[in-house]
Amino acid sequence: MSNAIEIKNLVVSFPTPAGYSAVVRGINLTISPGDRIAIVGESGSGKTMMGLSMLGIQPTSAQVEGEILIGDVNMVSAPDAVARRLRGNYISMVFQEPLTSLNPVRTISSQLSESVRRHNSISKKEAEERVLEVLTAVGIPAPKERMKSYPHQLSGGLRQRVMIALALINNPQLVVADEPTTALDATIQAQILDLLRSGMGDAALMLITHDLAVAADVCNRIAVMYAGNIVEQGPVAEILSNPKHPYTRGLLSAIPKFDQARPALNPIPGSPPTITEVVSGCRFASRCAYADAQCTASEPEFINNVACFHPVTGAIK
Amino acid sequence: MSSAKKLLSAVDLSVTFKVPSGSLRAVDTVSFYVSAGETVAIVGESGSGKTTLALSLMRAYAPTSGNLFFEDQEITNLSEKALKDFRKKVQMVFQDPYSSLDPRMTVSQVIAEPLRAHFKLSAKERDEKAGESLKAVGLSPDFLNRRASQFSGGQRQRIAIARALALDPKVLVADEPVSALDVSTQAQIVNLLQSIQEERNISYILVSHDLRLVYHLATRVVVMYLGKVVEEGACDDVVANPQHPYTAALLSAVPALDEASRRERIVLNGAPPSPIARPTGCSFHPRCPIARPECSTQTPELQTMPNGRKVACFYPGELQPHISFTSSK
Repeated sequence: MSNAIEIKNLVVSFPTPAGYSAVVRGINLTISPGDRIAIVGESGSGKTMMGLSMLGIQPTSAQVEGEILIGDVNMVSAPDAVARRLRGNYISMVFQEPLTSLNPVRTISSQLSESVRRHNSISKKEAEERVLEVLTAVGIPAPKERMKSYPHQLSGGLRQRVMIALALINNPQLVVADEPTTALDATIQAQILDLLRSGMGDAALMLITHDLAVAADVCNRIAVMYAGNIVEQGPVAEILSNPKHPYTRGLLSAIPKFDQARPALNPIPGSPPTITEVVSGCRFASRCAYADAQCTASEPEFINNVACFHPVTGAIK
Repeated sequence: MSSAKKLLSAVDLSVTFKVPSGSLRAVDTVSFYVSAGETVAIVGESGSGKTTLALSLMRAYAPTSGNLFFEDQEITNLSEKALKDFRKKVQMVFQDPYSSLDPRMTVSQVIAEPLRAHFKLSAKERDEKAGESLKAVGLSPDFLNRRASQFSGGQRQRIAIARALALDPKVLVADEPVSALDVSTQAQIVNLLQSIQEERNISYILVSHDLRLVYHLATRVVVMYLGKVVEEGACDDVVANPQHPYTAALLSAVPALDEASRRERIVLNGAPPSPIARPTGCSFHPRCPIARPECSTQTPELQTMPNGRKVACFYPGELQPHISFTSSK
């Protein structure tokens, strides 16, 4: 199989009093095996809905259109049984808050072996061996003892390692991790970022985050989302040193840095459009310093890795 | 030591909570001060006691031991009635503007509530003051009759700041004031806090886990681990040359935009221990990359170094993180 996943013109919409409103507005994205791509966006950008629909676990009220191709299976239209076979086996997910994603009344071992045995016809003992193997691989100290623990007996960092172990246990091709370190403390975040960067084996990683620095820390490619669209995509170094979309540039100059001169931050004025807001043309235009009549008249297409009529060049001042 | 006069200060402050298994010393013999117009940041991880320290500086918690002073007056044991003036002068901005503002109240009610508690004003005067406060945070006084629920996160945080400013405070305690906001609006609030400080010479006590933000805003920084101050000093100095290995690790843990910081990252083992089961000796020794045998038996005191830096470590300055400073000038 050449791609881990291929997304074509993905649209995710929700019913509102004014009819269906799209939170994901026609996304195209290809992830190759072993790739580590970050989806960076603010709240409401649609990044989480995109991730959930890739596994077919979006809220039931959501309407999903387009194609999410895993091999020759389209997750959007696949029967439940087929989607279930791929989920946890071919594609898996790590959530932000491990305490709410793990079952509080079952041991770590029982939750992880369930996932192994669901997808493989092996004995309980073999499954437990696999659990031990993967807990060791994600850096859990004294894994044999930890297998018998319940989630509440572990620290936040260890729980997130268990979540990652659960995602990796069936050797998936792709792991989607949604803000996996946002609930963690600084020194624990550093541990988990290390694991995501270099401990995922052969699995490709799609990291959903609001933090460009976290994205740069873990991934080799970044896609920036704004109000339902990918507005820019490229290798990490390229995005950081030479961002073309005014929104990406805005994000980069809005974060404080270790700069002795402490220059005033450059905020992006205003806020993103709400889901029901009707916007003509580029959805970033009202906040963009480069916008002109063309930008409010029509929506720019995604060409040469950027969706902008006036892509900017050169380093950020 | 700075010659500026201490505005709000604590001497050997401890705050202990009763828990089923005994007592939890959330803040352990901490001395702290903030002078007029400066920003002091309190940094540390969850459980470090940074929020408890900030709240007890406001007398939101009664200190178990130690002394609190505000403008040369001891306020440690003052009655709530005698504290009324202090309450006016020390205000707070919370992390999450979705839970710190009552969604059913109008903006005018939100901002007028503290005014009502502290001043005898007519409704018209209160509205005028509330309008001025809104203008000070960059919002139109036309918003006074709308409800808090109609605003975005950034606008709500502005309203929360307007409420705090309405009483013309001398100290503003800001507990993670931007971490619930989106990146693009965080910068708006950061700049706003800076311009308010320039205009009014307010002191800020900034509680934050974001060291880039701390570096950007603070003049001094206090690093806490398990209820104790482990390092304190001028912000420039602490970031450029951390003396405590925990400070070094925290700085090194900041997600980096550059390759080198990532390659040379100091990654600590494990998680901070529970303050109920405090390790013997130096509390940090089980996670410390440079710990020696004596670190588990003897407790390092917070020592003042010649340049005014304070550090509680037997081997100060030994562990250094790689930080890529940028320079815009």
